[in-house]
Amino acid sequence: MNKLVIADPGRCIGCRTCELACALAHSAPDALTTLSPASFIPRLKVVKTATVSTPVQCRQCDDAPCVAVCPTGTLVMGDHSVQVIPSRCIGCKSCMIACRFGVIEVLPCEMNLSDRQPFGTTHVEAVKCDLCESRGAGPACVEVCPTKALYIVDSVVLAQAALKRREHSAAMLVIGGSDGYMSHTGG
Amino acid sequence: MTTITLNGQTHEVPEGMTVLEAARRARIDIPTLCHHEALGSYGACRVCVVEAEGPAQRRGLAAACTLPVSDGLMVMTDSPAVVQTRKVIFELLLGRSPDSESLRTMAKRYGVDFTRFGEGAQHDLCVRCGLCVRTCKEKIGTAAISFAGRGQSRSVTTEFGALSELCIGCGSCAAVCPTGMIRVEDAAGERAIVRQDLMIARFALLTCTSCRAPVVTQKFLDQRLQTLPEGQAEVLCLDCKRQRTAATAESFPNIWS
Repeated sequence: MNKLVIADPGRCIGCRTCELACALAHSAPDALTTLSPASFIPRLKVVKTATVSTPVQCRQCDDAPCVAVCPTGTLVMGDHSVQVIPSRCIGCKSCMIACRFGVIEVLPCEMNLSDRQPFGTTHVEAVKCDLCESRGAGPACVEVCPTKALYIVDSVVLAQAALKRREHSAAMLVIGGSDGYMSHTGG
Repeated sequence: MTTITLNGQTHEVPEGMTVLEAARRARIDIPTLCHHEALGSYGACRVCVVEAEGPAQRRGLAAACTLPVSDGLMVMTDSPAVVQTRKVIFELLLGRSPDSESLRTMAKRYGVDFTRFGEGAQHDLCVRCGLCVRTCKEKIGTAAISFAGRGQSRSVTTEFGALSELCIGCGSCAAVCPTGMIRVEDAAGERAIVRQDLMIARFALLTCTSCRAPVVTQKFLDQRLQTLPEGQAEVLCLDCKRQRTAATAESFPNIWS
């Protein structure tokens, strides 16, 4: 099963530190001083509505529609995540339309001389959460979140979460009678 | 594995690779205009010229993108012959497209900032690399644009130069174009795919079912996303999708920790 980063909206305070950490983690080392609105490309976005604030990012779907529709093999299933090979992207945006969560974007990207050829390869590329694969310390967003609202979820954590829900449901049956079935969603 | 020499350094590379791929893997700079990793080798622009010699290769200049690696192949990517030839190729390209910003920038990197050619010739931004044509046909499966004419009158065009009925408005042609000859122009809920002086196709964009922002063309949905299960190809803009994702996010105390 793929791993994913997921947020607990109950803990999120909407500070967007995760966005900044994400953009920096995917930029040149000197980005902190050179980052511009054009080069600020976070792969997760904090969404704020009247009732909730939470970062949304790639769910790393196991049966990923973006991978299925990509005509060039730009989006590939890696080890436990959906990865992008930017140099193959032709900018058709099929992935953008296919993704239900709105977490993949096709953007004009500045040529990064350090890891790409300067010309003739690609100017436009699919951008999504890659779980900071090239970063030794793991996802930067999870690390910086001041309220620890972001989590790395793998099959073990998911199984534990399911267990907690089951225990909660059982407890609610005892305490709250039939109301317990629905009340857990409110936190 | 195959052993080749790149600028005097020995490299082990997988069989079947091209010299261009091997050089890029070794972080050796070779310019390209008509190369794209999503597509096969084409050998149209020639700016990736290198000098090669080997047991199976007579010494001479060759396009790195179409030259396969072979045991004992010795490749020079910056020999005097390569540098000089590349300069002439850039001059020829500039003769055709003197107004292309990206071509000028690229040529300058390789020491070319003027051209002896192209006086009196017809100028446009197109370097005839064929990336748009190949992307449309091979990857999108549409072939809305194609080359027509020969020699100097060769150009990228639609059928009979008329508005294309085949184009699905994806804009991949514009995305891969190295010189900005083809552009996508979205305005007032409409999308136009434009080749500098020729309207390739024009569409009314479907609007987001939630916020009414223009999103995508009907033909694109019909053709590119037909493989998705029913109901999955929805017309919703990115922001509204994210809002929905956020709205369905569950806050269950300490569920992930």
